[in-house]
Amino acid sequence: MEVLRVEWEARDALLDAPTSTSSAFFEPSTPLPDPSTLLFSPQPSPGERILGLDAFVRANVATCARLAAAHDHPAALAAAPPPEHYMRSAGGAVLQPHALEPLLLALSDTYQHIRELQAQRDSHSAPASDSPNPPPAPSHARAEQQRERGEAPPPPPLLARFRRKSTKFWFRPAHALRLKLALLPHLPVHTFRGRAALSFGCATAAPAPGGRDSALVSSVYFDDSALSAFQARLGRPDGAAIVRARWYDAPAPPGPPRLLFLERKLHREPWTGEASEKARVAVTQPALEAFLDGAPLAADDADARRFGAEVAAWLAAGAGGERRSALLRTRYRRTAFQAPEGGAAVRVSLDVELCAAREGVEGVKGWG
Amino acid sequence: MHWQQRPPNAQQHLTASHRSQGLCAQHGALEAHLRRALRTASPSVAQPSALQCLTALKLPATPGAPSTAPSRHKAGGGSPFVAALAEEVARLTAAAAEELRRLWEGVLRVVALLPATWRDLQKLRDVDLPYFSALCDQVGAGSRVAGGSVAGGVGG
Repeated sequence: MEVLRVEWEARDALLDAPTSTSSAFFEPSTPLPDPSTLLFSPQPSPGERILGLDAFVRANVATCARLAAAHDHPAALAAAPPPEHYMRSAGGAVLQPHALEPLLLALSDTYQHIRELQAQRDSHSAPASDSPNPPPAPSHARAEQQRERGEAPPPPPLLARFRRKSTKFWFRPAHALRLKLALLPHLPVHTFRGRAALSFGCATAAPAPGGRDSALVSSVYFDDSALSAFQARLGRPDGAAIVRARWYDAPAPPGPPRLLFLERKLHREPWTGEASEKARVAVTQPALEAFLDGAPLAADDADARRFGAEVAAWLAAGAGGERRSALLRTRYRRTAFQAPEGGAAVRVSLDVELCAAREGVEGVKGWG
Repeated sequence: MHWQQRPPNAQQHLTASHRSQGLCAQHGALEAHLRRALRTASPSVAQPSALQCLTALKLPATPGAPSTAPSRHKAGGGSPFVAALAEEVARLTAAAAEELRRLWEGVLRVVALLPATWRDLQKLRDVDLPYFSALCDQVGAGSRVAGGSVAGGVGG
C-alpha cells in the first residue's frame, strides 16, 4: 500500500503527550468525496469545490485510461486497473499537474488574512482603532514587500536548537488534498521561497497567482557500512544520534554558494532528565565539503564550532572504527503549515513523493 | 469597484451548484460514449493507439499557451474509438478548465471584498454584515465578525 507521511510537531510546552514521538495512520473521519454526491451539494465552499474538481478529474482520468488500455490491449488488460503510464498520459491531457496548488495558496492567504483581521480586532478595541499607527501588513505580504525594497531576508542563525514533540501519521496519496484543505483554516502554508502576495481589499481584479505549495527537501544521511546509526535510531537507546546534511528546493543557480544545513538529531531517554533535540548549523556548500574532508567547521560562532567538533567525533566513531560517510539520500516534496514570523508553536508538514537512494550509486552524489 | 459594493451576481455565484451538476453529468456521458465506441473498435497496428492519442493530447506547459501537440481533432486518427477518446478528453479538459477558472474567480472575488484592515472592517458594521459573514463562511472562517455569526468549516 502506498502511503505518504505527515508530521505534526509542537513545542513540548504545548503538549502533554508522554512520548516525544508516536506514529499512527491518518484516516479521514468522513468518506472521500464522491462526485455524484459532493458536486450536488447545495452550497459548496471553495474547499468542497476543489475536492469535487479533483474527484471529477480523477474519476474521468481513470475511466479514460482504463478504456484506452482496454482498446490497445483488449485481452490482457480488460479487467486490470489501468497501467500507470496510461494514467499519467490521461492526467496530463486533462489538467496541468499541480494546477490546484496555487488555488490552495490563495485560500491559505485568505484564511491567514482573516486570522490577522481577528488579531487586529482583539488588539484594537474601538477607541484604540483611531490610533495613528497603521496596522501591520499581513505577514504573507511582508516578505514580498521586503523583496521589493531589495532587502535580503535575515540570515539564519548560526546554530539553532529545536526541542519539539512530534507525532507522525501515514496517509494515502488520495487523501493529500483533503488533508491540506482541512489544515488550511488553522495554519497557513509556509513556502520556503517567497511568492507574490494577494492584495486584500483591492478593487482591481488580481491575476490568479502561481506557485507551488510544496518544496523539495533533500537530505544525505551519514552512516557506516554496518548501519550502526540506523540501527541505533531504530532501537533508540539514550544518546542515539543521526547526522544529515539537508537543503531545500531545486539546484541553486550560479552565484553565491548554496546554503545547506548540517543537522544532528539526538535522542535522550526521559529518565536522564535531558530532552531530545535537533540541532543544526547553516553552512555553505564549500564549507560543508571541507568539513566532511576533515577540516574544522568554518563558523564564527563558538557554539557552532563546538557542535561541528561533536559531529566530527561522531562521524569518526563508526562501528569497528570505520568513519561514517554519506550513505543514504532521501528526497521528497514537503508542504509545511506553520504560523509566520518564526513563532511556530505548532507545525504540520506533509511529505509526498518520497524517494530514497544509496549515496554514490548511479550518480547519486553532490548537493543538487 | 469598492469592496463594500456588492457585485451584481456574487451571492448567486456563492450558492450556485449547477456547474458542479454539469460536471457530474458529463462524467456519465463521457464513459457511456467511450464504451459505445470501444464496442465497435477494431484496433490495428496501422492505426494510432489510444495511448498515443492521450500522449499527443498533452496540455501545454504554460496554461493558455498554444499547444505544440497535434490538434485534438487530428489526434484521433482513424479508429472510431480513438477519435471519440480525443473528443471526450477535449470536453473533459474544457470542463475542468472552466471549473478551475470559476474557482479562481470566486476566491479572488472574496480576496477583493475582504477589508484590508480591521479598521476597514469596522466601517462595514452597519452596512452589509450578513453578506460579509456569508463571504467569511465561504472561506471557512470560524469566528464571529462584529455581531455577524460566522460558522466555520471548509470542505474536508
